[in-house]
Amino acid sequence: MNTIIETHGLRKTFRDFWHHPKVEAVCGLDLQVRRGEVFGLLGPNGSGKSTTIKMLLGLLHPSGGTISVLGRPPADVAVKARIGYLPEVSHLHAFLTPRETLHYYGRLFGFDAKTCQHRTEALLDMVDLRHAANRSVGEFSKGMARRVGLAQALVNNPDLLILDEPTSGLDPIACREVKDLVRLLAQSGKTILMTSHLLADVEDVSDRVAILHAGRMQAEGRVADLLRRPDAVRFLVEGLDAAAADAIRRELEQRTHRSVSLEYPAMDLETYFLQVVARAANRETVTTHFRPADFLLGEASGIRRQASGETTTPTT
Amino acid sequence: MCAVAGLSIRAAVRSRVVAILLVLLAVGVIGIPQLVTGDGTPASEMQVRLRYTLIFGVGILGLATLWAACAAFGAEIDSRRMDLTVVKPVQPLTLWLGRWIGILLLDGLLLLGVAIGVRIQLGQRLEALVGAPAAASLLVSRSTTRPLLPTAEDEARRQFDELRSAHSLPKDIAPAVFFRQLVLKCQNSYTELNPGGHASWTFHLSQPMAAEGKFWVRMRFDTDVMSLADVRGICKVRRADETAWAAEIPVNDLVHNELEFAVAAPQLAGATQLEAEFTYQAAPGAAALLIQPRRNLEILTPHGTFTGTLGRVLLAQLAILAALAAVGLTLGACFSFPVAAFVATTLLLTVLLASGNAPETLQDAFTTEPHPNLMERASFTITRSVDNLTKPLLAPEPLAQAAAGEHVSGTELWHVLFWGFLAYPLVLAGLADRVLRRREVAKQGAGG
Repeated sequence: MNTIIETHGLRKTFRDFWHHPKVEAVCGLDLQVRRGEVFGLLGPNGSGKSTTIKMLLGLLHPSGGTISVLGRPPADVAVKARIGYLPEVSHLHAFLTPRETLHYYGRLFGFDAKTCQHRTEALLDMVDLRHAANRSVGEFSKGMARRVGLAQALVNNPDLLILDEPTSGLDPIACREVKDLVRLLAQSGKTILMTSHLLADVEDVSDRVAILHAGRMQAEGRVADLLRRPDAVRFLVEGLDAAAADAIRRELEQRTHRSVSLEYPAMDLETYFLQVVARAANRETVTTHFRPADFLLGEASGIRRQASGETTTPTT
Repeated sequence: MCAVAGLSIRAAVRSRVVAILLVLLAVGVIGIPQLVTGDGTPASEMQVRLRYTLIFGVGILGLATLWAACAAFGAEIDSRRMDLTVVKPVQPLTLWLGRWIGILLLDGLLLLGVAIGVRIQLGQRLEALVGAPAAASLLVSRSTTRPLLPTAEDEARRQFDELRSAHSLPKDIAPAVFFRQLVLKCQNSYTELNPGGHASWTFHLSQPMAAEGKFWVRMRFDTDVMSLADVRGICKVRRADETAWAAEIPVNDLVHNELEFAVAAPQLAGATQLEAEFTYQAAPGAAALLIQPRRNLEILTPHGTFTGTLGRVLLAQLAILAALAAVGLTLGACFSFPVAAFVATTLLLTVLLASGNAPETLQDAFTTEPHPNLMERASFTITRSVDNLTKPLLAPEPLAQAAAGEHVSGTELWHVLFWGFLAYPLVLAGLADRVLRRREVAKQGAGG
């Protein structure tokens, strides 16, 4: 089974107290997410992203259409056992510590105490919260709570990971760590569906994206395909002085009889930020804290080896 | 289920609710005997320290249980914390049961604490009143036996059949209503004793009399409303199959008082059927004595221990709390927390009204009023329905029995436990499971 999520004509109409239709949040959505891919669900506020996710999780019931998650209806308990979910706001029990939180959710998956303990400790290491493992989650900053939320979404080593705004509330370093983690998990065979308002984040990690507006699919496809401009070509040459560059531009204009623009590419702000932080820390690289827990990666490929090393920020 | 139960306990223990509850319960256990004073007799001390304090404790715990149970689902769903739980592979029923068990464990511990506090206080107070040996003899557990008489329903049926065969049934009232009136009349019927007169009753004991032949007689006489009288007479007891009296006890007290006296008659050891006779020895012309033998005449024989009875009482109270927790959880599954808490409180008040004097009063009015209007009919129907629904759990009064030194029978206890721990929760859990499967846990809004 290569299709992990499939919806046909999915609709959701919210109704008022008298059952009169109030809002049509999702209108006839057809969606397919394949095994092992990172799928980004994009759209402005009110476009139906979160509603779609909630229907995929069984938190909302569709008004029409069909949903299949891992080949079964979303309310199926067997399906739930294979899903990890990070909601937009973590909504954790404030009185529990991160260790207790992970242990609790582990027990809900039916793991024995030993397995729960092993996974809890591994995930606490992964999200770098061991130092705060015995503090109440209620005392945490948004970013720290987000890390606990992410850890709980992984406690069952899910086949399908649904992340609603996973980088919301995280600092740029943690954002990068989350994105690296998402890529690693995808490489280990997990399917990831994520939404984000930060388009750059989605672009960085997604294989395919869908753009929703007013509950309808507006565009869908591979990121590279959607963003490609077939009518334009860009050359990147390092170390060229301004005069030579201008000469080349004029030569191209003469040969193609088209307007040629000259740009000096800049690195993105995230890369620059990470470099500054690395310099401030007197190091060449920024080390990621999100070393995926062993149980998340399985035995396949060299991912475990790769994961255990340090991720280096690009220097160019 | 254990994880969910553990979460409930952690949530409670780490919130201020349990701390406040502990303070309230401690204030109740220590404060109520100071506020509510008896007449200084051991019996009134038993009533105040055991009955009222435990009622206060159970009342406070009941309210806390009801609201905490409403919050367990209602507030969780409102705050969206439930989102993370329901996406896990857990059946709604498991969630419900986990929460219920968690709440019950906490209730059980708190109730046990209250009972231990009450027991210590009671022992100390009785020792101060009557000394240690006598105090021990006051903390007893006794089974009660009422005289062998036809039930009020049987008696009413006999009278009704007699009137019907004589074609003397009243024409202006429905037969069913008239029958109900007859039942009420039989329930309230008195045996009248004039000076010099006597009445005797037969008792069938559930267990043979113990070797020392120790037992108690409890009776209460009334008299005409406008007159006062002394209960001056003699109470005699013997085996039902013998002619010689085994015990003769002079009685001299006032009407309306509950008279209870201990009797030690070793010759009654092994007896299973007793006959008691009361002879009224007042001067001629004194007011007649009235007694309702169905209600106000009992023989009490030792059965079990006081601590055992107290344990049974606690179990029965915990069964009530279990039912309240089940109601709260199911309401929380159906509604948001404020609505669930409001409905729960309203239901609780309705039950308290219906299980008090209201049903009898309404029933009397209903049966005596030949043409009740719509409001009366509706009130009666609602009250009777609620009363019937809660009667299995609330009708037995183990606390009152324990305070009166009476044994709580196993049958009665199992009955309460069945309804409180099994029947009501099972039905309510099934309902909550169905609701939680159909209810959309997530709300509209937030996100795209």
